[in-house]
Amino acid sequence: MMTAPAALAVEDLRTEFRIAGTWRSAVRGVSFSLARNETLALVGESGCGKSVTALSIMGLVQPPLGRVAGGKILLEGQEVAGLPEKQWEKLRGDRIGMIFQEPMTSLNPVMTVGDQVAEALVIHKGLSRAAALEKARALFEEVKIPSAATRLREYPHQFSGGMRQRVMIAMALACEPAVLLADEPTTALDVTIQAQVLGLLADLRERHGMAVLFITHNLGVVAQIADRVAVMYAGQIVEEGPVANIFAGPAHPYTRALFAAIPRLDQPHQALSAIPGRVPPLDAMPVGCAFASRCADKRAGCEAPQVLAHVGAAHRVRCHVATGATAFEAAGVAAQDTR
Amino acid sequence: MSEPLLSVQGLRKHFVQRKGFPRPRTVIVRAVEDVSFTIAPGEAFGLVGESGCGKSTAARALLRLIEPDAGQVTYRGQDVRSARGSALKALRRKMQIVFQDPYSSLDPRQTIGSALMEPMRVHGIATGRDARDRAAALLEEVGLPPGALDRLPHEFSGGQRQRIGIARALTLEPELIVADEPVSALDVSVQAQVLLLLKQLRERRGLSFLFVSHDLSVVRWFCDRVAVMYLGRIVEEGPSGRVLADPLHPYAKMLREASPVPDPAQRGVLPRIVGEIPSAANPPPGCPFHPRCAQAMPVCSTTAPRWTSAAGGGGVACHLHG
Repeated sequence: MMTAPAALAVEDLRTEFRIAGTWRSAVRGVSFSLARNETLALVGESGCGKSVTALSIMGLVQPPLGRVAGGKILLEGQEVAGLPEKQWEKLRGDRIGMIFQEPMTSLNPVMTVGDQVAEALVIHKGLSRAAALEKARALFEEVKIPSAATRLREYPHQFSGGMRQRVMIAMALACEPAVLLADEPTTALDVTIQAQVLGLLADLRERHGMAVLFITHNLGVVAQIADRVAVMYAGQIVEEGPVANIFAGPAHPYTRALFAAIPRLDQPHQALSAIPGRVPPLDAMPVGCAFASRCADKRAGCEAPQVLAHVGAAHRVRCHVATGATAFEAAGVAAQDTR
Repeated sequence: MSEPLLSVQGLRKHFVQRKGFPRPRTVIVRAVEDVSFTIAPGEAFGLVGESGCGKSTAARALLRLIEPDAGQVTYRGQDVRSARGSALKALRRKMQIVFQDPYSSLDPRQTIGSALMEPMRVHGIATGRDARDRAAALLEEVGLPPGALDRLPHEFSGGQRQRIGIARALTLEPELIVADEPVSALDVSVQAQVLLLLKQLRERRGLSFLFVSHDLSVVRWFCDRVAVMYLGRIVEEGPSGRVLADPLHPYAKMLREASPVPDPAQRGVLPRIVGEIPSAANPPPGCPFHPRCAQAMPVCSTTAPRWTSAAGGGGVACHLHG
C-alpha cells in the first residue's frame, strides 16, 4: 500500500523487566508507524511505558535488567530489534537520534559542548575534528545558540537549561537522522523557554523532513506540535488518531479523564475532576482492560482483553464500550489492520 | 476593605555568594528586590513567574524560614519580622507551608504518625492518645487510611506524600497556608486530586493561601488574585481573571502566550520569544524586563517604572501604562 517504507515502524513491541526474578512487561504490544516529516506524540502519565518504548527503539534496553521480548522495530524498513551492539552503535546518532528530558544530566560535564556535538560527526561521517567542529558551529547557529563560535569551546555548566537542551538538539541532529526521539524534551524548562524549543523543533522538522516521536505528558504541548497522538496507559496504546480528532472527540474513558483533570487557562471556573485509584502494578496487571478498575463506564465485557478498533477513519480506540466491538469482532478488525 | 490577614511591604532578600577559582569574587544575587502584596482572610493569592524570579524566596522570607534583609511583614496587624520567642512561636502556628518536593520534605526514618504528632507536642496542642486521634483524623481529612500512621514515607507514592505534607501543615490548625509549587512534581491525574483536596480544605476550613506556582492554568483555577514576578519584583498584580485573561505587562503577556493551551485549533500562536531571564546577580537597570521587551522605549532602560493602578483591579509596573 505504501510506496516507501515508513521512517519508523514498531509492531507488537514487548519490553520486559525483571522484578523479583520474574519478567514483567512494561510495554505490552505497542504498534505504530511514523512517516517522514510527521510528529507522533506519545502521551501518558509516569510509568505508562512511554519512555521505555523510546529506549527500546534506541536499543537501550539490554539484559540483564531488561529485554525486548518480542515484536519488530523497523527503521527505514530495516529490522533493528535484536541487532548486536556493534551494529546498534552504527545506527544510534546516525539514522536515529534522541533528546532526553534532563539536559542537566545527559551532557558530559568534562568535555566541551563543541566536541560533544562533533564526536558524532567524526564517528559516523568520518570527518576530521576540524571539519566536524566547523559543522558543529553551523549546527549551533541552526539551533540559535548566540555567539556560536565562542560557545563551542565552553562546558555544559556554563550553559542555562534551555541552552543545554539546544546543545542536545544540535547533537541529535548532527548526522541528520531519519527519526528523532524526543523524550519529554521541554518538561524541565520554563514555559517561555519551552515555547522557544518547541518552535525550534517544529522548524527543524520542516527543514530536514525528520520523523519525530515526541513523548510528553503535557496535553498543551501535544496540541501545539503533534500531527498524530497515541495515548498510552499501563504499557498499551489505548487510543490513537489525528490530533484534531483526539482533542475534539476523545473516545477512550482514560483519554477523557485526562482532559478533565487538567486546569485550563482559557476556561475559567471549569470543574476539575480527578481520576480515582491508581495504575495497576506490573505484577498485578489484569487480563482485561487495565483502566477498568478506575473507569466510570465499567460494564460487562471490560474483563476481557481489549483490542484497538476503529471509531473513525484513522482514529482507533482500545475500549469495547466506545467501539462497540466485542473481543471476537475486534480480533477480526485487528487482523484486517495488519493486512 | 477589611483588615488584611497578611501584608507584605517592600520585602527584600539578597544572597551573598563567593564563587570562582582561583580568585573568588563576591556576587550579590538579588533574589527578591521589592515585593509588596496583601492577602485578605479566606483569599487565595497566587505568585507566578519563571524559575529564578524569586517567588519561592519571597514565600520563604515572609515566613522567616530565611531571614529577609528588609521590608515589613505583618500578620493580623502583628509585626512578623520583630517577633521573638513565644510570640514568634504563636505566629508560626498560624502560618504553615507545603513544600514542592514530596520526596525530600519528609524525614525518611520518621513514621507518618510521628511527623504529624511532633508539631502538636511542640506547640502543646495535644499529647499521647489525643494527639494520635487528631493525627488519624487529619489523615482521613486528606484522604489517607488511618493505618498510614505507623508507616514510613517510602511506602507512599508522590501524590500520597503530598497529602501527608498537607496533613502536616494542618496539624496546628493554621489560618494561612503557603503552598510552594505543591503540585508541580505530580502527574496530571494526581495533580488534579491534590488540587481538589486543597480547594476542599480551603472551603471547609476557611483557609487563606499564598500559592506559588509557575503554572498559569493551575493558578487561574485555584486563586482569586495573582501577582506576576520577574527578577525579584512584582510586575503586575490583580484578580486572576483579569491578569491571566487580559494581561497588561508585556512580560505577563509573554508568559500567557507561551503557556500552551490544549486545543489544536489554537496552534501556531507560539510566540517568538527573545532571550532568557537574566541572572539575578546582574539585573538590568531601569525596568528589569526591557532587554527582552518588544515594546521597550528609551525610558525603560534608565528609569524603573512606577506602580500604576489598572482598570479591572490591581496594578502594573510598566511605562506603557504609567
